[in-house]
Amino acid sequence: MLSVSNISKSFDRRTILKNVSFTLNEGETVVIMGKNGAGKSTLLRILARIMACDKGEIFFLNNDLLKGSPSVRRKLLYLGHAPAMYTTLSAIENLKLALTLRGTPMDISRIQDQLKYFGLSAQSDDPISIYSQGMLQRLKLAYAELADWDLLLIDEPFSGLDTEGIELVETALHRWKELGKSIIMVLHSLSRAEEFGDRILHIQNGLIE
Amino acid sequence: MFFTLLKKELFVEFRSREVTLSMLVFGLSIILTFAFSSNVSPVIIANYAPGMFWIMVLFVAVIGVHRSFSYEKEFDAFSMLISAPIDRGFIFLSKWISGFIFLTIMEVLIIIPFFKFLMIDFPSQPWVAMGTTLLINCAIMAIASLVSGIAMRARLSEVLLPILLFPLVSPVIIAATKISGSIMAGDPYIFWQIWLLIVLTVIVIFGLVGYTLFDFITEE
Repeated sequence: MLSVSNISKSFDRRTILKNVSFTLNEGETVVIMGKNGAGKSTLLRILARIMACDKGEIFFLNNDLLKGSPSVRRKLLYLGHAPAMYTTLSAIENLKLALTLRGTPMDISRIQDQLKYFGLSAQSDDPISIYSQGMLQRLKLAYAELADWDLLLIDEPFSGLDTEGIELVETALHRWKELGKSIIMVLHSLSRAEEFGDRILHIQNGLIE
Repeated sequence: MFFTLLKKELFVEFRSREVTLSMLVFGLSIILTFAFSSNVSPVIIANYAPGMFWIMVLFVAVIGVHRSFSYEKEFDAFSMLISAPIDRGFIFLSKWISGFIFLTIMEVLIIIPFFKFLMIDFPSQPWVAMGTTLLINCAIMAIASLVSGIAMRARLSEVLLPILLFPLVSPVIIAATKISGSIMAGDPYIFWQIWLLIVLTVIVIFGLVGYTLFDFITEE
């Protein structure tokens, strides 16, 4: 499904990633671990084409992700640290916009159903600037549930969540795995990595070990 | 997809009104400063008015375009756009056209105070003045949207934006001043057509360059 070959990235002459290569099979969940600043989030942002790499190749569903047309990214969903949504818009407006941009516009009733499931129905019309960290994480999960994707790139999905929120993430991850979806996830907890990951990749000194 | 992005730009601004409000307040402040600080004859003011107007518009455009791109940084909202399976050239086009709309709205609101406070006569050919002003707005925002896209990913974007923008936009401001001055003086089209061609050239070149390059310059 995904083939990453010799990806390198430097910031201010400091090498973050050195010839990183790995593959991901369909339905597989890979967990990326490493110390702070190791390059885990950088790797995810390169895969989502938010960040440019210095060299290397990425093939997604047999298409060149770096040089191919934008439609190559259609089945790829990135959920980073930040919500990647507009602070002045409400949860419904943000989700409606994000889904339309992905080419899958959706009825408001379906969006409201998902927001209700993730405990956000009461604040669904409020601007997301007033949301707490946990609420923003739930909003991202609602987005992942609504979007049509084959590969999810998700950065620390458990951060900032209360017990109920953690259960929601765990349930969602188990369901996506059962549905045979592919996931690349950045985690800090080894126990969670072992629970959800089919494989664990450690990034250290810019290399995958 | 372009219309979805344009609608988003207009809707986000409609919600916050940050871009138009900051542009309007700045524009009105400049007019009042010009009006109350200069004590020269209306003839001299009329000679300098086109230059004063377009310099004011330039600064107002910088404020607007900077705000328009800085809200993309809040909550990393820009990642929603660039990770989406869309032609990133449309992001440039939506920023360009929305910037053009905001700048034109701001000009509509400040043009009467500008003429009244500086005691200048309205141009004898108002439709020509309006048409050329729209084209000049289009040229300014084409350059400003491209440069803001480049500066946005830089660490010192607030510093980089004026450093890159002002030299690039200078030919447009000179041409705009010449065109407006000629229209105010009632000169025939043949006198200022070369300046209009410069403005049109800028629109075509920066429009195409922005559309083509936005795919590369938006990545970190």
